[in-house]
Amino acid sequence: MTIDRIVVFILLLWVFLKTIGYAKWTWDKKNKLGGIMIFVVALAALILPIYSMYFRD
Amino acid sequence: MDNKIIFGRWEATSLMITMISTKAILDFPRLMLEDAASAGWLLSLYVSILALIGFILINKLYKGFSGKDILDISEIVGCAPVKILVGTILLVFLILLTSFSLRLFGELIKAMGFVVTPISFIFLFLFTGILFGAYMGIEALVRFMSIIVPITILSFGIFILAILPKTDINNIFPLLGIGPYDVFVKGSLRLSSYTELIFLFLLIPFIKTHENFKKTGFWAIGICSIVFISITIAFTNLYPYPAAIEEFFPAYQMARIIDYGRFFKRLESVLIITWATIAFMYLSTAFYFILYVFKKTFNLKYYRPLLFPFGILIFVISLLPESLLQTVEFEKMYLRNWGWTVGFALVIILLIIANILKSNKKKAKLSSS
Repeated sequence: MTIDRIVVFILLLWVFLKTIGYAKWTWDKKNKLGGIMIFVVALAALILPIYSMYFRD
Repeated sequence: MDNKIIFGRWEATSLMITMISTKAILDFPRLMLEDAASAGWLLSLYVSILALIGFILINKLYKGFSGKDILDISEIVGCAPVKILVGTILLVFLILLTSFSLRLFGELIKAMGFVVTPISFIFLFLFTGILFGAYMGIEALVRFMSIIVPITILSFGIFILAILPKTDINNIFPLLGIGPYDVFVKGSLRLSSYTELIFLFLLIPFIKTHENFKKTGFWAIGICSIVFISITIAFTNLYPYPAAIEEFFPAYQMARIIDYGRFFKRLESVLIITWATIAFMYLSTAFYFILYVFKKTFNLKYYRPLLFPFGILIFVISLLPESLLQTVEFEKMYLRNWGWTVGFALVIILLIIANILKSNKKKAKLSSS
């Protein structure tokens, strides 16, 4: 694993955690569907880049 | 983002001109020639007329729903489930549209001046602008567009005039290209060139009145049809069919030909500034509306926390096609063939059902009273 990939991974993880925080806040505001959908987007924004970085080649 | 923000007709028209006519500098002229050969200009005229007819119909159906966007209409039709369904369809469509446009713009800028630069590196620069534009919101974007769009229209006019002396009018013959069936029947799928009208149906809460909606739509379609027809005629007359369809970026190839004396050569290096600005405006607005649709569909309070996750998604999706050829093929096969189903068919169906429901309610009210 090269240093640039580690940096990208840390950035992706940071975005994921921030988005999860917003999903939880939305869930707590009684908008469960909104919370779930934000969680799905956060997950996709973490998995898709990792897939294309590590497994696509 | 909300309905507190209101802007005028010119701002909305500028936004629509940017969203619809941007493809003129990407692959629009080549697509027209691929479908209708030397009659590409006739096909552009035909799809513009179809778009106008479609908009007249939508305008009539929209009369009773001023101030309501397509998501509000879908809520009227079937409450939350239909709104979520329509919102999800719009989201998928807008994400694909933005991703593939980002890839095409990146490839265009790469071809114009950064041949050895990796595409992902060009994306990073484009993306900084897109994220900033979407972060600032719709008001900042439309105000910026209302200033820039007249300049881009003027530069486009000069660009077309500069090409004219190099053209050969004989290239538009035979007038019906490879036959009327290809132009008028198969070609009708190219109504998808106006599928970006969907942004107008999302823009309604910001422009409020039905009069604004009507005039914005007509002006946008009128100006965009002039842009489409003029660039297709210029391209057909400059590069004869079938040699023309080998050019991935027709407008760029046309710009390279401009040559006036010693000082006005290779004007594409000047046009890169205008075209990069258009790319920035188009992509920022499309990206903003992805967030807007997501926010409105799922009743969220803020859209800004979603800038990075959606940005990452679009960045990655735009890099999924392995080559420019694959991107162009995908765009042609799906977005430019079937885009009309979202931009026109979906809207018309929803409006028809909403109108029926509305008249039924009225009848029930009258009979009960």
